[in-house]
Amino acid sequence: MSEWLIYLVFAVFIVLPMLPGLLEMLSRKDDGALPIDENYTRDPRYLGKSLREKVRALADKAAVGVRMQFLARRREYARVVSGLELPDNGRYEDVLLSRGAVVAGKGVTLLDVYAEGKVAIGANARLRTLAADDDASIGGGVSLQRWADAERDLTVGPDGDLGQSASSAQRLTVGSNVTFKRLFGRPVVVGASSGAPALPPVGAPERVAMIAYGGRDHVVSAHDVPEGETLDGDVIASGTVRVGAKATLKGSVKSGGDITIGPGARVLGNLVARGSVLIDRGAVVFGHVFADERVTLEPGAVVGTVDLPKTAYGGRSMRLAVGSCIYGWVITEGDGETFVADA
Amino acid sequence: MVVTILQIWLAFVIAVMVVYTIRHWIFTFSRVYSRQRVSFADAYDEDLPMLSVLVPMHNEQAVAAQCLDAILASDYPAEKLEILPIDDHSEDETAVILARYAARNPRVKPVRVDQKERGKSNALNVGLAHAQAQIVLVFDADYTPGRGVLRALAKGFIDPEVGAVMGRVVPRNTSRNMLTRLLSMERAGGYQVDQQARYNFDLLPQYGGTVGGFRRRLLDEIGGFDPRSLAEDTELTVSIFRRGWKVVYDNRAECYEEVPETWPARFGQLRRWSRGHNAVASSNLLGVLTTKGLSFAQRLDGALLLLCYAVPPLLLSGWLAALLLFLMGHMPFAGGIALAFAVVLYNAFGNFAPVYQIATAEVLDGSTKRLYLLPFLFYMFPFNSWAITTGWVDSIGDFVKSRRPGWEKTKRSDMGATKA
Repeated sequence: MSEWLIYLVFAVFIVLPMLPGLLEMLSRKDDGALPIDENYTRDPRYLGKSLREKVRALADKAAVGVRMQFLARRREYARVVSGLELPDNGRYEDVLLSRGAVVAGKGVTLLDVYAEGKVAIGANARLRTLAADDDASIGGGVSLQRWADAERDLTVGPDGDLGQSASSAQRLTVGSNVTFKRLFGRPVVVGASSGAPALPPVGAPERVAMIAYGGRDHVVSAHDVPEGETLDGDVIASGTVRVGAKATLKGSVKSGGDITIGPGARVLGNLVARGSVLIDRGAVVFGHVFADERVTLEPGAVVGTVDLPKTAYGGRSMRLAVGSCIYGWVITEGDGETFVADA
Repeated sequence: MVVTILQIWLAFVIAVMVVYTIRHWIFTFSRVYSRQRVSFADAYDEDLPMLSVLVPMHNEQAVAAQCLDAILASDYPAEKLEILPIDDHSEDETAVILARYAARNPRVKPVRVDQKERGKSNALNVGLAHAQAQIVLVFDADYTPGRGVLRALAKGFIDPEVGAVMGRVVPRNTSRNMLTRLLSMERAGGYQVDQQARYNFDLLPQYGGTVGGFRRRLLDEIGGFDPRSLAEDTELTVSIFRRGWKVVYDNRAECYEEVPETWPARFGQLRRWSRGHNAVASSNLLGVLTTKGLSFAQRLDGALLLLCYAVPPLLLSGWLAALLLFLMGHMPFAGGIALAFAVVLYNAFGNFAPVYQIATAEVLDGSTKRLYLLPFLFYMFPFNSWAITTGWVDSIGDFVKSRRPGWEKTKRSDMGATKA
């Protein structure tokens, strides 16, 4: 009898862990392929485009002034208006599709706003999302919960928080002391209200493209490019790499440590660092900038060109000085901030 | 004397298993708790390089069209893309399908393998001879890359030190049966956790040869793929690291594949992988351990990667040693406690170390109900061990007899037998 009991206990121990699996095999609650959106393509302005699509689909069914359910699970409502003027400290708690302009005073609170006309929002506003088909401006001290996107120029005043993303199909101007995660513009300009810094005419686009993906054609062992000199080839080093002031590197840099680009220097390829990257005053990087740690752009530093927008990625942080400029995408997984550099 | 040898051997086996266990733990913890290193796929770039996409095909009439359709639907700039499907001695309608696509689209440039030799390595060499671009991507014929995958993979070469890039493989036919469901779990553990963790630590993420690419210059340097190789991907991975290049792993460049749906097909696939992988290991292990410029961790990871298909035969030998010691009346080491410890090591950590990775991967993927199937992997383990051991024996036979292994293609689900 005791022998059979042991066999039984053994059998239970063997079978018991399999029971949930057997039930899953029978009921098949989770047997599909891992879902992949095969139509997915990376787009820095995806969020703005996505909201426009959703709101438009809803708005097509409604007349101006009608309030309708937007997202049932959140009990949110949307309203189509011909335009909106909101006084100082006003609140608008519906998702808004404005067929015309949106003008809001200081200290307003808004939810999701999609305006087909221009948008002007005063200082110290709080809003969740903003999509504009025309120019948009947001005053200083804004608290953006999610993102803002404009089809034309987007201007954000100083001392605010841009949430997850701020993007523009054209120019994105961000004031000083603004925190962010992702910025996209052609270009992204920090601080200045008008006039992107002019770019020196170095290198035809074909040359830049070839360098940006070229690989180790001519690996240069020197870790430093001396001041004022020109070096043709990639620099790959385990430690810190310095490109001296007014030097030109016709290649990319890969560093196991930090990379410093001196004042007025030009790099035709990419910068990839396991540490941090500092691009000093007036330096121009025509390729991408990727750093696991921090990326800092000093005043007058430029990444990318009008014709060839690129990406600046700082894993831990991104610091953009007033006067710096990036044509393309700025990304950080950590903390992004704009700042006023010491004179 | 015999007892002592068996005890030493058993201790060695346990030590090896402990090393692999610790490796799996570290990888899993890295994936869960540490900051994940991103690939370059996030980069915004309108100035992408010219790409040649190679798709080796042998009797692929069931899947050729869907693969080409997927590549043609890519968002990669059309003027910078050429697609070279390589017809490797197909006896079905593959050539007709390729001709039809070529007639409709100038970007599709079919290549035919004319020489007697066949197999993926040789087909890739033939394709490379026709490829125009410096960056070459490779997909197996049963793969359907999404619209953004080519762009994501190409951007891996932003880093001038990168020689190859690898994306994530996701089984499409998961729901077919128990085997496909278990294989989808294995794949998840291997990519979502293992590959990503190796990339996090700057170790040796593997170029897998199916959703990835490499610089053409690298292949020129090493004289192309060895036509005799059954594991051209492992061979290229090792060559990359021994020459000071890197592999980028992009966990978000996901691509559907078809996994074997029958146990014999899976056995054959594992056996071939093991045979090829062990051949690469035998000729490169010493080289990896002595390559200058690699850190200690990179050398160790390289060695453990190369030896991973030698572990099952090693483990089986350990079990045999333990059994013999038991029958001979000699408890290993200090008696019953040590034996119990060894058993726990085998079963809880040795056998199941990858299970931690798989469970973590499924949680990260949000496939929580699938976790209930985890205990079934216990039964998968002896099957895998036997198939891999068979391949290991094959590789020893190849080495001893200087034999050239034949290529045996994994059977597609919608086709008849396609053995070459």
